[in-house]
Amino acid sequence: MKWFIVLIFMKPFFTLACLPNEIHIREQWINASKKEDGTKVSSHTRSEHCREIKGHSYFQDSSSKKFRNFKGKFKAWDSPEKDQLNNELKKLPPWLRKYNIANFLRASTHEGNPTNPALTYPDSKTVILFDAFFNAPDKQYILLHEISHIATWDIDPNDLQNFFVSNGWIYKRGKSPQAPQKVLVPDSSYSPSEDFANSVEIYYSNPKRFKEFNPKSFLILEGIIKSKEKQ
Amino acid sequence: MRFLYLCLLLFGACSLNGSHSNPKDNFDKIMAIMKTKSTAELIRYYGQPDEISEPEQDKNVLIFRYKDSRIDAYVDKLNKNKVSHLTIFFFEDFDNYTYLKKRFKNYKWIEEKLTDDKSGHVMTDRYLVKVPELGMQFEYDNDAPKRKVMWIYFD
Repeated sequence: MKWFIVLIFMKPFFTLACLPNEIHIREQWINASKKEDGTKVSSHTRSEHCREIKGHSYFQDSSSKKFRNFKGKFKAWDSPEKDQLNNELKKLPPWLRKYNIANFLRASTHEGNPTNPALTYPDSKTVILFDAFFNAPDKQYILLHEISHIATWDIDPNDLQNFFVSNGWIYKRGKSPQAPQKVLVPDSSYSPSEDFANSVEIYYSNPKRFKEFNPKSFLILEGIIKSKEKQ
Repeated sequence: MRFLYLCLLLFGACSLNGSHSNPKDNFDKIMAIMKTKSTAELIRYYGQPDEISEPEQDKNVLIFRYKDSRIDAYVDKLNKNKVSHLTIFFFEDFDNYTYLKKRFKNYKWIEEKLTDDKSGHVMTDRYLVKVPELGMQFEYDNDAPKRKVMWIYFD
């Protein structure tokens, strides 16, 4: 009983920190239904929760799910490509390897963006890979960048804020977050998440360049990575 | 003793239903500060800032940073008694959108669709939320895990 009361008081202090191998499921309204045995289930709200990604291969040849802004057709994976992707995934830094991908889907090209090698849906941990990915010489960095887009949302808020402040991001009335005048990679100014993914990519591909560009942000990112590696 | 347990149980259950079940919820304090927009009120609630800096994009203000609370108060450079606006870096570990929608359910809530990420390799579904009565605005991405909100702006 005592422990039950302690738990009740502690509950408001819990957060819903999903593990890198889990996926976050939003709060949902469940309509009333009837089970096969005739039991009536009244309508209710299912609380948000984390669900482990397991029990199936992440290589998907097709998907019944509709992906917003993607009109192409999926195609089946072939074994050499699967091997190639698995080898590239093994090269990722350990902290990024922890972010299990729920689905890797394969398509020929990204309509309207034919040079695009990959398309990531962070919420569902889905990555669509195009022919351009398999023709690219820097596959490891493409994956590193894409998975960083998922990892961004899992960084400690104080660390992430420090990183963005150090990079010069500011938020003003009526405007999207404003990038600093100088950015590490031109498309970093699109969004803070893009800036973070680019920074992780450059941290591994060209650390000297990053260190010279912004030594403070380099150290903050190094701290973030070290703390993630310990988790 | 049973009566005491029952009281504690009821008290605990009630505390879960309140809008302030998140211990890091700073909104009451922020709303109080933004009512007066006074630096004295800001310091009364949060103390002296951990850091004072000048943003490169706006030379008319100073940023009073409170690191643990993730609050940046923008103080008028010419009138240091006045808080021009304030941001909080929210980014909590639960569905932020649902929390905020419930937290501000008594206020008018306006949403507008924003242009999505131009890079073309990450899918976003961005919206701008405005709560005019509170001078509050923030952006969220419907395709981001937990719909985490970065900055929430108040003026």
